[in-house]
Amino acid sequence: MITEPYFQKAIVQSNQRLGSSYTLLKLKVPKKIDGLPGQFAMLRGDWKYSPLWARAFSLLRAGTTPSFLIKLVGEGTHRLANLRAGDAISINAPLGRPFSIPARGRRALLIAGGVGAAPLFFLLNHLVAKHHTAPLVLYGGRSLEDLPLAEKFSPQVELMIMTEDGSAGRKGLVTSFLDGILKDSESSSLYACGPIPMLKEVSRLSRQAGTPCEVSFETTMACGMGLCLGCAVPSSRGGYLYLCEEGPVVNAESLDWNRIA
Amino acid sequence: MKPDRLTVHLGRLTLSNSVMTASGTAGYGDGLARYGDLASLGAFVTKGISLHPRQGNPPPRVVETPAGMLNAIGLANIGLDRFVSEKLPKLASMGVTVIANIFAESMEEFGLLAGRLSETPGISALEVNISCPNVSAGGMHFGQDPRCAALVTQTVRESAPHLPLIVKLSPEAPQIKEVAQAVEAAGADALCVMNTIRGLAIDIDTRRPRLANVFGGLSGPAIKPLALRFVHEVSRCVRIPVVGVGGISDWKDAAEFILAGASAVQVGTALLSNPLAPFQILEGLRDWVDRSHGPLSLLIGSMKP
Repeated sequence: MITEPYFQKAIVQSNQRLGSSYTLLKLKVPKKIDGLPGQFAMLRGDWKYSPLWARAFSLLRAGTTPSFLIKLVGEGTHRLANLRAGDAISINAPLGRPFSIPARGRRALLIAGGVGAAPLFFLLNHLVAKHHTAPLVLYGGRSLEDLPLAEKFSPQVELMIMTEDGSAGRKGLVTSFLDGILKDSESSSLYACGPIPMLKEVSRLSRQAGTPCEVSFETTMACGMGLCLGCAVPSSRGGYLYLCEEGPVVNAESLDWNRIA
Repeated sequence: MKPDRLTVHLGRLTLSNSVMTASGTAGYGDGLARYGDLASLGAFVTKGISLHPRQGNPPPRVVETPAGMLNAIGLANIGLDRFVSEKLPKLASMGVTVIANIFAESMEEFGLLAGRLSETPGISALEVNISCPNVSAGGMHFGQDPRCAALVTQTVRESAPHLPLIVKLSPEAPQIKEVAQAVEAAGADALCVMNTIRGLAIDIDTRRPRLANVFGGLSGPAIKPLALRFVHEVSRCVRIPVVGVGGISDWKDAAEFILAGASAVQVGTALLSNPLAPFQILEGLRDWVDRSHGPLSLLIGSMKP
């Protein structure tokens, strides 16, 4: 069940650097976050004006010690990565629409690109805990550096690692193996999160194979809670959908990929 | 309404306190209502409503800038009919004081909109947008010229004679004081000072503007000193009350606007990163007024020379 979001002050419990460009941020919140896989949080350190907005991150884990996988990209993520245990932070969560859980007997295929592994990792743990059919995970990135969660997957999961430079797993793109996998596996449901070119290809292949597909999409968000209408994404029905409330998880068919650069 | 130290009069409109939301920063209220009691605010100002629905501008629509942001939402809205049938009843059931922000592309449309809303129960006042920087027609150009601004004011006034009327001014008018006086003479109950001011941000890697609309309205703490100056200037050249807006993030900012001459304030960009901001600002203002041992009305425009 989707619960109402709550805005609260939290404390950083730990902030663990994973390689040079990722950090695993764990918080301690006064009020438990009943978040579902695919939902997100808006996080902001206790700073005055810079950066002004909170930043959106998929929940890696919910509860009273929610955690987040953060890729260091700009000023906001660097400042968050520099927070230390005990520092104050505000959190607005849970926000947005979660993944839909596959029907019993349907196998989940999870396609993760880089930092896009975060929401899928949460989904995966949920499926394993609820004894769903063992999911298959395709996890890819540019190099080993971009697979910070690779060691953390449950051993019960069938995991395929791929890197563009061949530094880990097979060499290639996650999508290059998907076509064959989709042909061999009936009654599966696809879940994907990663860079836009990857999501475009996943959605094309899923449509071709007639496999239902949900993607966790990303765009600039100012508020994350349906106030500003800043996060417009081209909709396949014409016009736009607002990713913070109608996403971040959307059916791949609901986006107009031709209008997405 | 039980009068207390925070009660404020904006012409014919009496509010329980001086804190409102700024148009376009909290939609139609349902999102923000999850975080606080909208009925506790002086008023809730809706996202700009037009006669017909509008999709808004293509993305990217927002970009963060130093101590501020640019937005070019393009007045995306669900249109008058859906606002009245779907959104207004929810606000009314919560006991919220609703100020409907309206904009149109022609005088005729302004008249039709105001007329329809004047027959709609649950609306406490109209705020007329003659100052949106992000649409080619029906936005800022109405607010640039005193005669044109007065004509819009008069049109809305005549179409909705019983509704208190606030007119939201543009900081880009060459002579904002003349626009303010013309709008006052045309029958506005209050002025809202100010809307965003156009800015630009460029991605140096692609050499493209960061917004699809190229320009966007600058808001947030970056514009606070400018907004304070306009509130100060405008409030001294008209007799009607001024609602101050521009970069208010905490009660101290709000207090500055009151001292500069604002009778009420609107909170916008701040609530995008802290949905509790308007409620916290209200509490802070209440404490400030209590410490000053007088009603808030005595603090309005009381900046010392």
